[in-house]
Amino acid sequence: MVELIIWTIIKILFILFFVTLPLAGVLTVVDRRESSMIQDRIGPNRANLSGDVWDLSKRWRFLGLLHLLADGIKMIFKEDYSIKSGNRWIHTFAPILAFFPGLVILSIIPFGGNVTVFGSSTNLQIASFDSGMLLAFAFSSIAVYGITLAGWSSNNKFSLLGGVRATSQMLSYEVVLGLTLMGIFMIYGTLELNTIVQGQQSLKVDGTPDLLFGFLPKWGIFLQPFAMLLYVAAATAETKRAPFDVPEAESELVSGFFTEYGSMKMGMFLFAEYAEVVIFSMIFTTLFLGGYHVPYLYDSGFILPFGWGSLSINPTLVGFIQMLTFLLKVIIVAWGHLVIRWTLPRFRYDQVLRLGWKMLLPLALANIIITAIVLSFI
Amino acid sequence: MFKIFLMSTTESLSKSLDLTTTYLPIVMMIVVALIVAFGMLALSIFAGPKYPSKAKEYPFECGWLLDSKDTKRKHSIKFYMVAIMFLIFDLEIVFMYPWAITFRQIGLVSLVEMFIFLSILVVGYIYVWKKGILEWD
Repeated sequence: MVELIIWTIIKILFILFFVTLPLAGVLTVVDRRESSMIQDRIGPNRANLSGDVWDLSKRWRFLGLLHLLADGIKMIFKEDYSIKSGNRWIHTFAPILAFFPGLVILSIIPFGGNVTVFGSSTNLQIASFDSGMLLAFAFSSIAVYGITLAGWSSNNKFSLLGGVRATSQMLSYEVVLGLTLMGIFMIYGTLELNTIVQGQQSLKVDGTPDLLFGFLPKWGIFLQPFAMLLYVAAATAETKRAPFDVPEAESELVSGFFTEYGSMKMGMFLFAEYAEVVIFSMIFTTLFLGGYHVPYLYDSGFILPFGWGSLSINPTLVGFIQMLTFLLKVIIVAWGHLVIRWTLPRFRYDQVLRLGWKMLLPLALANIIITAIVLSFI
Repeated sequence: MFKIFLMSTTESLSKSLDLTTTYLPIVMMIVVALIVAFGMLALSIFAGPKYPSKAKEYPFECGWLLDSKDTKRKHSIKFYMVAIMFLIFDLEIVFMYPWAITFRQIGLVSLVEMFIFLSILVVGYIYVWKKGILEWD
């Protein structure tokens, strides 16, 4: 029991304070730099540590990453005014409701295999239980409350419209999200994420690798390519980022549901968005990209396909390699998600809902039916 | 009798211990996430300066301020329809999860049963579509 608590604290500290929050913070800068590169601008690069150095090339700017620090300090020391006309208490606590549910989802994500440190062995996953993904769905629904209440309590028409739009958009795409992942759950027969990851790259009973066509690992992206596309669309809509950014919609609603927010409260909404991007990337990696698996690397070491030989590696080393692989995959997926944001034009509000209900929903149902038929006849 | 009672209590005790080990990490995670969120909120409330003024009390609006005194009035029914449809479809999806998980164990029977269930769902979906609830213009 004590061992469990210590391990849990270590894992929470690691995944929250060394992975998710720093990565989300870096993404806020990377997002702007990447957009500037796509749009042929220079982007934010002025924050520097060297003070009044005349020569620009001799300033310590670290690729503009210091803007992360500058933004954080600025937001903390801005004036935090509380509104008089709306509902003040709900207005104050709505950012919390929007921010914390995303972090709780981290607890079901396996970010590495089994490691043994000082004779104590553990799975690199904070909580492992059968209802797995249902917890993720449940907590992502709680985040809807934060946004709705933020829009409603501000007593501002832009906020109200943004909040109502966010609610209907997130509810619509939650239906699609639930249906697209059904195929994955059918194939691997569980909702528990670590079991799904192990199902994606496993050994047969006789010790040979279980591969598709003799060389492809059984990752979700190869077994459910269509569900992958639907999931990317639905999850992008869930994070409320462009091309699905109608709840914020700078050009029509000022800044949507957080128009009446300032200082770190607004920062929490923005930061929650990037934290959601990281969490989306983690779930995507776990379900479709084989989670922490390196292709052909098993618990005992590499086993290559076509009988090209094998190489045995210390299991604890394998555990750490898998953890690094998971982080690398997450960073690549998050980068791709930012590219989606800056290369696609925005939808109009009615187009967002039409896409969700009239196109993605029937396609997701068709995906389930086809998966069911294929699974029952092979 | 006593032995059975003892056995059942030890069993329930071990079961409750099992529940604790399963769900304790989640509780810890929720607590840490709440601490982080409240910490950020407290930072914003206590660290910044306070310069209250009359102009800051008005909600942000383009031009006509008097009109935005009260926003809690009627708005489009289409948003409510989306919420109602979400309730119906999400319930259907919840029914499908147990089926999806046990699908490979049960086999062909469950396939037929789920097709009946899905066809009822699709009939409702077509009805909603024909009624024009999915139109936003």
